[in-house]
Amino acid sequence: MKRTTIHAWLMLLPAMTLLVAFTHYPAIKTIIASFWTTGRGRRESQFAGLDNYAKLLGDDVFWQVLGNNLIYAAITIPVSIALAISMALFVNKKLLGRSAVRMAYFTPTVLPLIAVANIWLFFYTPGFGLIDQIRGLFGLPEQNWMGSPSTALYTMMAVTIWKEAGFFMIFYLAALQAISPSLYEAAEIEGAPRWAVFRRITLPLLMPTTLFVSVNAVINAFRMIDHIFTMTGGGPNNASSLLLFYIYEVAFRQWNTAYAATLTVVMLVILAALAIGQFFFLDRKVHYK
Amino acid sequence: MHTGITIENLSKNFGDTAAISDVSLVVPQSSFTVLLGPSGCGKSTLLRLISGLETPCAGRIWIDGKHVENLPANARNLSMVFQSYALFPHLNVAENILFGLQVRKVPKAEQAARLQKTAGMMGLEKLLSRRPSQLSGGQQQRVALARAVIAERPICLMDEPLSNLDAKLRAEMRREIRDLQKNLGLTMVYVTHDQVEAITMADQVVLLNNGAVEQVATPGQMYDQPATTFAARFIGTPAMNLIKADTLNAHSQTIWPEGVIIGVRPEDVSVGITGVSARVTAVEYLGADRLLTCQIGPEALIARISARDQLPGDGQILLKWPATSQHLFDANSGQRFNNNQTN
Ligand SMILES: Nc1ncnc2c1ncn2[C@@H]1O[C@H](COP(=O)(O)OP(=O)(O)O)[C@@H](O)[C@H]1O
Ligand SMILES: [Mg+2]
Repeated sequence: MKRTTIHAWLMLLPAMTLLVAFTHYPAIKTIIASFWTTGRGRRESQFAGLDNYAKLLGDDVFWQVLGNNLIYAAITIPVSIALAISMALFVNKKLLGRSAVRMAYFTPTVLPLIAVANIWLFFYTPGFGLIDQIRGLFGLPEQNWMGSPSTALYTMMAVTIWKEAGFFMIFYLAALQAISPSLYEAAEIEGAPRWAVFRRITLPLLMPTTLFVSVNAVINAFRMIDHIFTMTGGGPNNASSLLLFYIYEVAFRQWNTAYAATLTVVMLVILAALAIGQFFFLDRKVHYK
Repeated sequence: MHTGITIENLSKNFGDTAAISDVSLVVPQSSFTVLLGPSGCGKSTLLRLISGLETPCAGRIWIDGKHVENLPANARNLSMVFQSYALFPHLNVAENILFGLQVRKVPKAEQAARLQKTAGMMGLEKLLSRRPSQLSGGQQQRVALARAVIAERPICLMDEPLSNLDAKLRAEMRREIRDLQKNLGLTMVYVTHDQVEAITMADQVVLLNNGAVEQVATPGQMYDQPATTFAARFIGTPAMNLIKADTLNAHSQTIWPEGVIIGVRPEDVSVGITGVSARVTAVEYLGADRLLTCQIGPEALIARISARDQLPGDGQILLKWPATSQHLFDANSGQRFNNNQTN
């Protein structure tokens, strides 16, 4: 008994060491750092209590990027899921060149986000960009999509949706193929209209996939910011900045590591709350076999 | 003129393979018709052609005098039970049974009344709120039946509905399905590869082989007068013995005509003091009976004899059977000679 316990701990040790060194220790260190001031030069870091959190509540930029991030998530997630389901339904049919179409939809996922951002820069560039060229054909004026505060965030959303929908489609395609064709035949014999078949059979049977995909999408909405670096740099005037991008700016441009740690803790709390909420909310609607 | 289901010269190809070729068939109203045949002979395809889940390449189908080849499945006024049951895994038993009525927008009060009646008939009252995954195989089978019954459609199609059940349950469900069909006056088309199922349940057996009809007959006719050697071998366990006339002529005094295959069922064979000489190679004891495997020259024959009959020690015996119980087939075509010209 004793020996097996020791054995078990020895087996766990290598993985534990790595986990503790690179995950648990930094996480705890971050939480601790959020209660201290940033040490600068000769001025030592001091215990600050909840000062950083108080500052955060009064920080307009924080509220702006948080708002941006929520709008960003609220739009990109449902749109990419809806697109993914539509594309999966489409390529699940018996159509000519089916695998080519599947590949085409999947391509954006294979590209690194930086490359995707470059493609979209080509679309958006005022004057030369594809969008403006097409607008020019109809005699419409040039438009700086990424440069104007009212549209900058939406240009970032388009990039995200373009990249994510194809990835989610793969999961939905796999789920669709796992649905027995005889279920559809049974519905056909009963005379169920197409919409009823989708709403009463297909959609509920895709729910486990939707749960998985949406949890991933929420995490990605807070985590994937490469395109913001390359395309707008969070501007103009923070209009397209997201929470993680703001954390980066605070930590590595302003070198205010304590405040960055505070922002990080808040972001983790938000993410955890969202993920747990999703599981509880969707779990009741999800059917697991 | 056409009541029930009438099929004329129906064909269906999948690419190069002909799944159904030139099938003509009448399924009388309120009858129990079984489509029987080995796996891959086209039973399911024929059933799906009737249901409208597949469209034929050629031929016509009438249901109650109406042309239906171009009608979608739900306009053919029939219900269907699938081999895998096709229950919706995310819906409970009540929702599964009511699915059709709900999508057809039948009034709520009528739905409830029909559900109560059907669930009562199938013994499902206590299971209505369970999911299919919480049911045994037999219970799932009942839900699938209930879903077909509640539609109150005159024709019911079933594709090997009992093949996933254990032997005891299968025997029970056979009787239940048969009773259901009689009580409701359903026109039943039932697919199986199990000849026992076909013989015990059917009013009419349609024997299929390689996508073509081999014989259509009542179970009794099919057993007593198989139309072909294929039908002769397919119905009955152990199967009918089929032996070439040449072989018998070489081992007995009697002369059978050339180019004929003689069919005789194991239970019609007995050990005699005259007859065909044979050598016993194996004996299987079955309680009341014994199964003798005998060798007549190069061919094997199985005889079912009473366990009380004595056998000679050296295994050399003479076999005989009444002339009236032997079947003659054309050695080339496999077709039965109709006027049993016996000797
Ligand atoms: N959808 C299909 N595509 C191609 N071939 C098929 C299809 N369905 C059936 N077949 C072929 O048609 C033949 C008859 O099949 P089926 O009707 O399922 O036989 P059974 O039900 O008697 O076992 C088989 O050779 C099978 O391979
Ligand atoms: Mg079949």
